[in-house]
Amino acid sequence: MLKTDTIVVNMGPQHPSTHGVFRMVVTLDGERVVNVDPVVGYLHRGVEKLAERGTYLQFMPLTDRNDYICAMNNNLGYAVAVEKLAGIAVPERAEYIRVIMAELGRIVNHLILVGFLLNDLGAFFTPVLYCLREREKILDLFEMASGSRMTCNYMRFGGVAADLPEEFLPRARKLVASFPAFIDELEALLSTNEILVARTRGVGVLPADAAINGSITGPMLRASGVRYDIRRVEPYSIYDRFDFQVPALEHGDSYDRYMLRILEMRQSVRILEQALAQIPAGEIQTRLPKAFRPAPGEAYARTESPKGELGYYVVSDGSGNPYRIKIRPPSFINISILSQMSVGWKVADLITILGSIDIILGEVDR
Amino acid sequence: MYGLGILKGLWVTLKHYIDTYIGDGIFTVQYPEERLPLPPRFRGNPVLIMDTATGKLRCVACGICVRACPNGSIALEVGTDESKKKFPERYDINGGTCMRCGLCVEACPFDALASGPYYELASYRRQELIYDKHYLTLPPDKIPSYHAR
Amino acid sequence: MWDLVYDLFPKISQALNAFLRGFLPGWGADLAVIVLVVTVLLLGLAALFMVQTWLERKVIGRMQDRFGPNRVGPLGMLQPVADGIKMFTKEDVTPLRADRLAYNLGPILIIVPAMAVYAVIPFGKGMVGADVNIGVLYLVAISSLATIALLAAGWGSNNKYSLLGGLRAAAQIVSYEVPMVLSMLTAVMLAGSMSMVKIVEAQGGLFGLGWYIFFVPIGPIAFLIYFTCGVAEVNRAPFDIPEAESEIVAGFHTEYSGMKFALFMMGEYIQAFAVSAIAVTLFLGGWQGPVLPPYVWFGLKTFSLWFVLMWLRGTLPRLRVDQLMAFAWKFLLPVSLANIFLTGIGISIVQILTK
Repeated sequence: MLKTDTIVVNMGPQHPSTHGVFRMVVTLDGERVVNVDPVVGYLHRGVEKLAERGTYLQFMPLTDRNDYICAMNNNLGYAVAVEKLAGIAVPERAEYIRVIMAELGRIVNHLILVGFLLNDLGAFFTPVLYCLREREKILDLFEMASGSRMTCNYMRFGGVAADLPEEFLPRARKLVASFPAFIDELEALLSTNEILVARTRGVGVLPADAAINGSITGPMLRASGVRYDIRRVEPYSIYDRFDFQVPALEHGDSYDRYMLRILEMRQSVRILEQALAQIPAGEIQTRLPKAFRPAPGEAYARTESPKGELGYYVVSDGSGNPYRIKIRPPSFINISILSQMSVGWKVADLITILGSIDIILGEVDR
Repeated sequence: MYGLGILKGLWVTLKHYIDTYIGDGIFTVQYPEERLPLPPRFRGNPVLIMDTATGKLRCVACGICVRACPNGSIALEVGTDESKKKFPERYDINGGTCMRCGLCVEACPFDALASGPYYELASYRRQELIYDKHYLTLPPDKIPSYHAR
Repeated sequence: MWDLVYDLFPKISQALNAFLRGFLPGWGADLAVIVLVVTVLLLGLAALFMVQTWLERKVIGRMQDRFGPNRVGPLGMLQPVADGIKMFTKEDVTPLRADRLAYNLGPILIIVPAMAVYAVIPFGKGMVGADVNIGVLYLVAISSLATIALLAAGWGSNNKYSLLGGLRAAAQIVSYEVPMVLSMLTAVMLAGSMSMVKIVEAQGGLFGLGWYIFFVPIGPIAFLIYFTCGVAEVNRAPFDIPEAESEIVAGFHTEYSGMKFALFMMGEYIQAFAVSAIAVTLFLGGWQGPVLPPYVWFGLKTFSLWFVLMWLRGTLPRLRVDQLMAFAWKFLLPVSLANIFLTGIGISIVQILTK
């Protein structure tokens, strides 16, 4: 008696395209995905508990390691939260530096995402290497300002760790000026490629209502047609001063998620151009008491990290150590919709969908 | 148009291919032979600064860096010299747990610590990752870091 | 002097044959020469594999703004040798509960047809292993044997990724065989023969430039279809779904290590080169061409096509398995059928006109 059966494949934690140590228990009917069971936690380090062990400042280097692709944005999120908790004002120049760093971080993140998404689609490392080449130039800027390429540890409560070095601004202006040309080239490489369009158009559609129900944020939500960006909705830092658009696309498929990242990079370039032109001279750090002890209370601050809403919830009991820190990692929330999106598609699409969600396991597992 | 996108992509890669021969397309740095200059702020292993005038360490063993370190990587034993001045009898940094965040350097009120310009720190044994006072000592003119001020 | 250079390899073989006839009976000399030629060809193919891997890594590296291998030897030319040493010294693992027969047979089965294809390819004037009068049929028959190897490897490995890869390979190769054969028929119809040598000789018009690809529109269409199917047949990008790294790790050769893995790679690369060589023979005039010696022309054309293969790999993403099938059955097959029809009409018209 002949019969067909489903097979269960463990994709990950060691698999070429699970972006770290993500594991999916995939049930397959031939090539078709019947069920996806995401398993997380292989990179759990107990970051939130580690925060309670040290002082407020000592947690700053650990935020680098949550979303290690764009450490600057994580630094910013935590700094904004603690400033809200303790009511610290930030000097003008420091705000500009923060915005510059955060937008550069957004570009780095989207470059990595676009490159590796195309790699998952089978383009043999070419787009990745083009993207990584541009990323290197931005990391050079980070290194110049903060001393480290990836784990920047640059933001401080009420400012930044150090003023920009002299050659930073000219180099940043040059990079930003040359960046649109690079995006054009990247788009010429694959954006209109028939194979890419066939592989991603209509694949893994996430309707807007499903996205809102799943509390999806960031580019994934905007690709589904909801124009929601915390930089606009609830401006933090000085984002209300800049003229930029919040791009949104309508289909919510993998191609839109790819395209939206490219559109966002172009908007980031716009913000950077303005910030680099307007940056004033002045102080970069508010003077804080030597022993930093915020008054008892709690604060939740959310920022638009490149992956979505990055929230830090900080509770103070009046001592020098935070009583509790809870992180709302965008990747972790966004990945929760994976199985809903990918059931019924082929294995190859599952990889595409996973790649277009944009997860970082450091942040998912914390 | 069908096929046009593919041709466009092929043209980009061909341009890059030719560029590496006739233009400045190559981006790779041939690492062990060729090295990029380190930025002055490069945040490597922390190093102790020696005062060239006196030939002694600037460190007065106050222990602020020990408290500032998020990972507890600094081990300090205080000693006193003939003139009752404190100095670090033992100052070890565990390179295995140090994450080069630079908080100790920022915390130091005497500018006795700086971020060193070292980055090839691999070793075969864990014990070799514990850097002692002598390993960490640098005269100030050798330190390109802004942290030294 | 130019004559000697022009017909270098046939002259060498004739001279050798004449020399051996000095002390061997006639059949002995013939046999010795044949054995020698086959040995040289096989060794040459192994060397070709090395050159191919080196070239591919260099070219794709350059396309990605890198140098590619440049540490081992001048320009990294000894990199394949270093890789070979690594492959030889690696542990040869057979997975527990693998189907040992199928598992071990896979790498052998893939290398044999890959090399056997070269028996009928004319590398130059008078440089052909065997001038079979059904050369094209032989090619089609032999090259589809690779399916069995991939299925055996995929099934025998006792690994789900391998199984998926093996099944994908079988489906892909079987589907692409059909339009490929139909596009080859165009050349066969134009030449009026299935012998590879005859097909090449038929393209000798116009001072060696009467290549079938210039027979607009049927020639270019048939060439493009053949080349596309050939790329799919040897599982190279953008049709590399049986070994799609980002999806099913390495497909049918996930579990192989050491020399068995090297044999898979070798089979694949040699087959890919054979696809270029066959495309050159059928549509690009084989060794035909003005001025330069035939074997130089053949090498130039084949390596150019190999460059195109590398170029495609360096640029394009891969298709999905169902899109791949749809492309073969819904697009390539009708187009190649229509192309045959057109070819037939064209030939009839020419026949009527020249009567």
